[in-house]
Amino acid sequence: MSAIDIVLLCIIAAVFVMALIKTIKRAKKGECCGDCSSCAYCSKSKR
Amino acid sequence: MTLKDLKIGQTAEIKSIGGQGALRQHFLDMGLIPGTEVKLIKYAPMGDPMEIVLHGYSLTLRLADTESIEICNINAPKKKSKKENKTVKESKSKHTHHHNHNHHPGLGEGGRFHEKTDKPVVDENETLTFGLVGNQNCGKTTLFNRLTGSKQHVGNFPGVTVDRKDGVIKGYPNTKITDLPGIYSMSPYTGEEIVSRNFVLDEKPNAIINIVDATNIERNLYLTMQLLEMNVPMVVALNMMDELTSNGGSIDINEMEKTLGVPVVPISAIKNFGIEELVEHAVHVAKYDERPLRQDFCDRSENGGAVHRCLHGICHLIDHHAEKAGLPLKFSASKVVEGDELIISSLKLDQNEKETIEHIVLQMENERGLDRSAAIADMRFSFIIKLCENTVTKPEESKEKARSRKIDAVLTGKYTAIPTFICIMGLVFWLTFDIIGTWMQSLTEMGVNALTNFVDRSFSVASVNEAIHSLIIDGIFEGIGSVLSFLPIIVTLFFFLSMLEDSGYIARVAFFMDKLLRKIGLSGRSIVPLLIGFGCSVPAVMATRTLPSERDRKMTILLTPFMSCTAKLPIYGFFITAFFGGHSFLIVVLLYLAGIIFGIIGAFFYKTFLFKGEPVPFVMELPNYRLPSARNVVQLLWEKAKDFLQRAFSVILIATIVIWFFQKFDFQLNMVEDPQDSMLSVVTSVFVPLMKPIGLGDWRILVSLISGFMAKESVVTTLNVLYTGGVAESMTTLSAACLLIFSLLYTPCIAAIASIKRELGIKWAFVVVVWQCALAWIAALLVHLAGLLIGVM
Repeated sequence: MSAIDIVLLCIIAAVFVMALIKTIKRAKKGECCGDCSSCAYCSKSKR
Repeated sequence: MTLKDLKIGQTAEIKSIGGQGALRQHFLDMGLIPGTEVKLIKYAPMGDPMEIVLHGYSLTLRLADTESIEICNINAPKKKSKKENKTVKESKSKHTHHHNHNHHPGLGEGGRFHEKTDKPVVDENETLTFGLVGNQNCGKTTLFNRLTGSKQHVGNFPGVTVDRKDGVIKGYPNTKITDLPGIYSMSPYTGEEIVSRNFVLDEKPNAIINIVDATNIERNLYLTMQLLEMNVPMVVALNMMDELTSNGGSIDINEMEKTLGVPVVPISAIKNFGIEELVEHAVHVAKYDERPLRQDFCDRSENGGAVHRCLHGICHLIDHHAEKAGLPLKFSASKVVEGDELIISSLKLDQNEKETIEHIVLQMENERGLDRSAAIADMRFSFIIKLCENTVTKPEESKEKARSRKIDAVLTGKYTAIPTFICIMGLVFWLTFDIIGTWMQSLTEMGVNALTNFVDRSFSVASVNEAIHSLIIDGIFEGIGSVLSFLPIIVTLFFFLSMLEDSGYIARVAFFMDKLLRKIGLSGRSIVPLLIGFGCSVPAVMATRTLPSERDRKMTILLTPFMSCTAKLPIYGFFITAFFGGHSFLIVVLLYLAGIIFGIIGAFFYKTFLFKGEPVPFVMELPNYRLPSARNVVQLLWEKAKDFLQRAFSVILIATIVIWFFQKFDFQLNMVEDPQDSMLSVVTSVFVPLMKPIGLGDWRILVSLISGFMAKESVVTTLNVLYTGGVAESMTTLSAACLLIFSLLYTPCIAAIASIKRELGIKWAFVVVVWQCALAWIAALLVHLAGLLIGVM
């Protein structure tokens, strides 16, 4: 495995973990305020 | 003679309101009380419901409901009061006179009712809580956005806000303001009214900001009366003052403030005028706990003082009960007279007390000549009329009203309403799918392809590891890229939907579609959530909260999955491009129509077997048409695009990577040449026989459909990852048609199911998943059999 492969792998892993955290956060917030135009799941985090 | 017998253009006076229960109370709360003048404007194109004007606003009612409203004095307008006969000029001079003598009462300010140096009642460090309460469509959310800097969605039909939302007032960190759903009264007619009432009664905010539409002041003040009775510090915000004054109207603010006993602040939420003054007054009354100076609206000299004596007698009787229950006394007394069961049971009155109260109320009914609910509503409206006579100069007809009347002549005209609706919807879909959206989609696709090719070439030159190269190009770029290209179409459709909603047109659609929807067991109001369902099922499910009956709510929620949401567009686009090139617009329209037809069949089924009974009465206010604000539309589009991108780079990205991994490796974690040997293939092949009869007997299709449960767009990304040689080579046209119909009807995504669970419970959420999958399977089977019969492969 070359250095570029390792760098790419790290980037993919980081992106994957970030996406996972984001998805879990959105799922945890759960309570939909019914206003998907503003928040998709919950706008509470914005305030 | 009843209201049903009135002819178009005729005016009459209401003699009595029949019927019973919550609907009758709602009629009274909307201002339909004996003695009120009503004018019949028109009937909906199919002859039902009708539009009437009372207290200067438009209301729609079904003919069946108007049978209980008796009228008299047809075409004999009530003798105008002295004030009403005055010209605007005379009124102006009177108001100038008022201004000279009516000193500013100075409520909600330091220096008059207490020394400026007095310490606040509420501790400095305590968070001040505010409730934003007002009628539907009076601009609460616009004001909330102004106060908090938030970006909540606002619309132009009654009931956009269906749940409470919290925020902090800009510049006042120790505050919390709650935007409550719009309500007409404190009677528990709809779920929203209960949410708002419970907020004031249970959460005891430090102050209420009561937003009143100055252009429709009489009906709006009805809620103000009840809020004042609740004895909570309060500020009245007279919104849309710019609209009133630009049409020649005016309000004597000082006199109104003096009469109501609370600060009154003229504002324009949309033009950001008067907001700072409003906040200062609200914070002041909250800090110093300045309660309304007036909570009593009964006049001892009016009608022999019957209502006055009744209310005050009951106040004495229930005084300590109200105190124990933590309920405001005057509010409780009027609710006891109205027969509000929730309040009566909270007061825990014993049998003797209940009987005494019943005798007092019966005596009042005899003396007043009106039943209890009508007498209380009449008391409030009498006070409002007197208040308006002294303080309000109404314009003859506002520009906005005149414009709406002209537009309505076409958009809700007898012969033009439905053809115009079909043309408008056709235009929206044609522009979205055939003109603007497609053009922008091809541009995005070009960009995504160029980037993919560039990265692909760069990786080849750099000799990147084969597996990593495949993951990035075949997995992430193929998967996410194919979904990203649909962003312009989704944004375009939302743009048109928001234009229809913000302009006030959707409320009209509800008006003229009511009769048609009643045939399938729904009310015209159900059209609003159903149309929102074309955008996203989650807000559509939430929007059903505006429906006052549980039966209608359940039925509408169960029908929203039939309205094809924008997340399914990538699936349609993907297959239409691959298999039905050249007929994209036609196929998309057919799919949408198929969803509607299945929805109608479903509605008949629900109506016959699950939800027997009649849909709720159609009592709805028709707002004036308004030009959607550019800020609002741009904000909505940005939020939609952002949400889509967030989904693409979170849940869809994960699904893409996970699916790529499981289809590239076997159980020994060796990379496989043939995807048939992968883990994914082995596991999902077990379920393939289930999908064979409908022409979808391929494990890759099954995987894509399962991933679509997380987010519908994932169906396309998964197929792109799994079909490395391209879908067109591996599937037949018939399979594609079956997959399209299956995708249209099968279970909504997990977010939509979660909102159904919250609204109806886990049992119904589970039923929706199973029922929609079964229905999709049957529909796909029919398409498959029909295709085989006519020889389509």
